[in-house]
Amino acid sequence: MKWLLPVLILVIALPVMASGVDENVLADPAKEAEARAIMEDLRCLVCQNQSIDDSNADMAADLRAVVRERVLAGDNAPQIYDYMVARYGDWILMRPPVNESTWVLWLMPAILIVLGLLVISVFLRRGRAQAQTVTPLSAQEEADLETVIGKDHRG
Amino acid sequence: MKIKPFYIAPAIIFVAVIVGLYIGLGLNPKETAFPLYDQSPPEFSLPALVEGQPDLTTADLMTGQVTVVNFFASWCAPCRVEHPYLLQLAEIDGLKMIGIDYRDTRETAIAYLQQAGNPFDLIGNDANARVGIEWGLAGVPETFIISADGKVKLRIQGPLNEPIMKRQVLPLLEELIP
Repeated sequence: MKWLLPVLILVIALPVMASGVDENVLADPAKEAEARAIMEDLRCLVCQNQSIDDSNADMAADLRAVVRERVLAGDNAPQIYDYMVARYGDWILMRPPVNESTWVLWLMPAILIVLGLLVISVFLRRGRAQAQTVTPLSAQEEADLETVIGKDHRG
Repeated sequence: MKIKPFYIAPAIIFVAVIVGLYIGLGLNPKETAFPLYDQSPPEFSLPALVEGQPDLTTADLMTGQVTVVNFFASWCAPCRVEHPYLLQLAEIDGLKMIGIDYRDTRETAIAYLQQAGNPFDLIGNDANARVGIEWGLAGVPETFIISADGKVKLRIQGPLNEPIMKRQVLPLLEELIP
């Protein structure tokens, strides 16, 4: 059973290798790490909801090559995002930016909270207003009540 | 009894959500943004598909002639499906046909065009897909139409077909070519 442990370790470690594999990685590990971080934020257009770092599609490999080239040329992350957005639009970013077409999306949680608070406050105020409209019994009603239930039973 | 706006609000919100979702159903999530629209085509230079011929450059797309740019590949099945429409476009007078062979080898692409027919006046070889990225390409085939004044007017993602030709391509060409 000596073989079991290495095999198990290999099987368990499989997901670690689940990302796009490139032959031409950057020689400088710091630059490569920077490029990989940028790749995680860029969408693979043919796989819809995977980053180009995750995907093995040809298209993702092409885009990874561009990212590495730009990092090597000294571009920073925002410059590379701008480059990609200029060609593919905002959709290439895994996190949609706040702009005129997405502010509704980003603000919706806050809008819903404000709306909810408004509804609650309207209901609370209405409840209080109803409580105040209770008027004391008139003298005639007091007398009627006494004849029905008798004076002793009144609390 | 007077109906308070407060009470009909949920009904209005419900209808708005349904209308929004219905519009969303008609959108194609695979269709990506088209930042090139009404812009000049990107700067590029590609070796010709047939060795020895001059490079294909941006200048070739801006000669004052209405131009079709088609990204294709010999390994791409939908490209074979749309090929008859490219041959049909090649028949139109005053229309320049440019092919860009995408992620492909010269030999297979040349053999493909010999077998299927060559609709193109000029063909570039984009072996590493770098020019495709400049054009915002999400795959092959993709077809672009450039006006005589050098602006990208239309992009078709995926293969040309009868409805796309009738509704988008041919009406635009009629408008662009006097």
